[in-house]
Amino acid sequence: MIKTLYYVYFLISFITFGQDNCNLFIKGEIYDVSNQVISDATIVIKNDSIRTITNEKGEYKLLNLCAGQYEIVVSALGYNKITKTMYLKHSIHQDFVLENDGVSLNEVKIVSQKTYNLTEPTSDLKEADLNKSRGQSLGEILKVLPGVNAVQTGPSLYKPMIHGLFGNRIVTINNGLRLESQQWGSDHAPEIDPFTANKITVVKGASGVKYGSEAIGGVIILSPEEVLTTPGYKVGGFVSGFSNNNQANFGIKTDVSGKKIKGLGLRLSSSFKKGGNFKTPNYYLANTGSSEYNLSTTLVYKYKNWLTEVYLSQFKANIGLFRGAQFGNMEDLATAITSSRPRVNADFTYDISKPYQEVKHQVYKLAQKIKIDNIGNLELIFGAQNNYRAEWDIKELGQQQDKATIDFGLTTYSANINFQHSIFKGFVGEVGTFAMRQANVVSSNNVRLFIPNYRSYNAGIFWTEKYATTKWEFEAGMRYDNRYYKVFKYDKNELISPELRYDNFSYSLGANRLINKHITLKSNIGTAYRPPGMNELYADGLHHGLSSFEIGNQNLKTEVANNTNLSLVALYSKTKLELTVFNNVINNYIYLTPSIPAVVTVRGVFLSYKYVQADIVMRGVDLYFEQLFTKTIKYQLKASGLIGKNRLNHDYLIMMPPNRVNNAIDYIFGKKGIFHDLTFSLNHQYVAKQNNLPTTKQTLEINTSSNTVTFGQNDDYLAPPSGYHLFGSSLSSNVKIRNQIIDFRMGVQNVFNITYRDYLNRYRYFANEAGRNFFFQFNFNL
Amino acid sequence: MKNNFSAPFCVLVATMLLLSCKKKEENPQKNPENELITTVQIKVSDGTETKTAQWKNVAGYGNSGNITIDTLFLKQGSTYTGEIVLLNESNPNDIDTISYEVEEEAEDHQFFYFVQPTSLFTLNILDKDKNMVPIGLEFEVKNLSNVGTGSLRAVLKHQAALKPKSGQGDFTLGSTDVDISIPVKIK
Repeated sequence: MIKTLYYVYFLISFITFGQDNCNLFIKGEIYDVSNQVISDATIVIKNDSIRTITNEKGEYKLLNLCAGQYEIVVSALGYNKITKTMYLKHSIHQDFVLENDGVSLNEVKIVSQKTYNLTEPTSDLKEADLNKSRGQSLGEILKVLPGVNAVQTGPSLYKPMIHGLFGNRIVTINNGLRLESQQWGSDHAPEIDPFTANKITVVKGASGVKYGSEAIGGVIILSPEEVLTTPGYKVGGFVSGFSNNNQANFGIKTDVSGKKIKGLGLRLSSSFKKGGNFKTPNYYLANTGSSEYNLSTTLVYKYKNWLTEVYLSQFKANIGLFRGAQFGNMEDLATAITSSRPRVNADFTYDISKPYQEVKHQVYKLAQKIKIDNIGNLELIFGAQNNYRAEWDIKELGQQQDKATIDFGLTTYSANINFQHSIFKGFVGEVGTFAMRQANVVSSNNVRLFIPNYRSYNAGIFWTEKYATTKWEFEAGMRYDNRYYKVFKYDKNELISPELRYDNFSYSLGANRLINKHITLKSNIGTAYRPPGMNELYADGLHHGLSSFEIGNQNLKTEVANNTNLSLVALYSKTKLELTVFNNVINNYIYLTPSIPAVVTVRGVFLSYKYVQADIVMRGVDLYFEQLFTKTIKYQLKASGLIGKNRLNHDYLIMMPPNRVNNAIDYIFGKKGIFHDLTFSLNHQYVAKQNNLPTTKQTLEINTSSNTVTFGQNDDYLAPPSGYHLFGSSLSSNVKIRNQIIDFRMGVQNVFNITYRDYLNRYRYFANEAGRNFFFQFNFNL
Repeated sequence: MKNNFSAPFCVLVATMLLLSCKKKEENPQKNPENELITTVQIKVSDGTETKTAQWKNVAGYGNSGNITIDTLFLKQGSTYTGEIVLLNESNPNDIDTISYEVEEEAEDHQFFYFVQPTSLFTLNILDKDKNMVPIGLEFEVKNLSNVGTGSLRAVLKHQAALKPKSGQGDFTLGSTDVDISIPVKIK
């Protein structure tokens, strides 16, 4: 017998999109046809020094692989070698069966392929992408992904929007725990420090089965890097700065693991941000400064198949709200809308005065993972979250001094038990159950409460299975959830405590067809539901931001989304294409509609809005295209389009993201002296005008001292802003000093200092967007 | 040394989980049943007689209210001094005079008056803040040369940090705390 050599070679150098995430692994077992493990088999990657041999249990592990396409050839003494090409996007479990030498054809036999490939359309931001955006908030970072937008409240508050849905219709999972905060408010940005994550995945479309209620629009998953548990230390960090609002950011992350207690690792991570007033091309935006401090620590202990994790984190921010968007009645609103520049003048300052938001979010997590050989992985997660939000408006007559206008305290305790079973007859799957208790306490400074106090209990159970062949991947899942609310509120002078119960069943089905080694077709049907939010049920007060009364509706029913996605993914050595079309049918979609006549109060006239429901559909397309023309020129195109309509009267929906296109050209100089990967990038963004608007139902005329303003055209205050083109450029590189890599970047956003307004900015009625912004970023790893 | 880290953390997490039983949510705060200003009184005096007309809504909040408005009766040829009083009469046993706060925060507030038709009478503001910018809690009414009817609109602007430091003030700044009109009849 001849001992065969095992060749694995790097098929294509994925310089362009392969080097982002280099902590992937392939692992698995190697068997013979009689299902006996084969030890001492070797797995090598040619042109890459990675090679390994199987242990006495037939197990192998290839670590620290970058995303990219690989061809793996496996064989052992006395067996035929086999070859498999795989595109590695996620870490995978890959088993192989080798046939006895000379007996059979030289073909690939795959016992199972445990992949984490989802059938839903997803987009990832890996460490390299995140390095480009250090210092920006989560909503701002995610905007670069096709199909993802942000609803803005001024220049510093970004709320992620996936396929036209945001807020309570999106679930955010940070380090394994669902973020529980006051997400019903469109000016409440997620309380998350993106620096703690080294990967962010956005799942687009209804994904209720895996992520529970509210995942109607999609899911944002932030995952940290594994904590170091082998002796040594690791320090990483960033420094960045932005010229427009003189913003400075700093972050540092340290992992330590000692020799004394093997498997014990500790991480400390901290970041800091401070910015002042933003500047449009013509004026400063008064009181738009913000500051943020974040601190987190993770303690991990690994012992054999046990992994214990304790995680504590705190997010703290003070965010100034644009002073020019604060006013009383409709006449004030009309004055603000019609004046060519904000009535409030400002210079640059870091000082934040009223109105501002004070936000604090604490997370306590205890997780235990147990790997049971040949059976599966068991995971228990306990979480406690404390969300505090205080909104400090300018004190009004009749209010107390030094008390927040309104403050919310939301406390959540949760427990998850998940079990991922090992490969069983070609299936891999997961069952899970979870329970949650939540309490919300609201207090105000003599203003009406927007949401009442409540306590809720939530329990759910889910089961998903995947099955894969060489050409197909199938996925199916189901989930049952039960939610109970007990509301505590006063009705006049009587304390009432209505109880609400919701139970829902969701399912998902998906299939991936691997047409050839380059092209995959993905399809998915997912459902999700969302019980009406507390504000939608019980709001009864003045919404200070937009001079309107909001009236809740206690008869609202659960929103149910039924989402179909179809994607085509093509990966070639120089070309990458991802095309997704989606159709999201939502029944009982809850939205606000103005109700005329206006309300007359001692403060003048206000518009009143009430919550109603309709059956709607949202259809759209996302495109991502990347082409390496020569070794030095790379082109990138991202485009998304969406239409949202009422299915009954075919009226367009309000606040849908306008169509947009992004182009980028990179000129790659490569290595120049000490500078590696020196790249110059030019980018262009075009956002179209939103022309698909609801029909005008009722209008309201308001006289100001100089004008008459008509409200209610297309159910809005003001026509959508024109489309705009923005240009930017950057120069990036990295230098290696001994073993340290310093990655740096400098550039400019909105190079031509263009004056524009964005349809999805809630302050578009009052002010322009920020102007030219120079920036720099340093990322270091010691 | 690292071993000592884990114990306090575990204790902390355990404590957090145990503290879950405080049921603060069961004692909600009451919603104010009315706006914080329920009543606007215009009081005028010609030296011998004081007349009061008021705009009042103590019946609810938002569009559930019930507004009552008096007519202000004035005598042709007279000259009056007047004041505006803001009250919170939600609790009849504890009436709160909100206009005192305007006096205390004079540099943040200003009343503006509009007479319709403008020929009906002249209203001049008498009081000024420390920057010599009008406040509008006190005023005089004169030039009542003809018999007629019309209206007086009173607008209180809250201009924290925006109120001009000189001149006669700027109506277009800030947010509106009061905006009411009362009918006026001159006999």
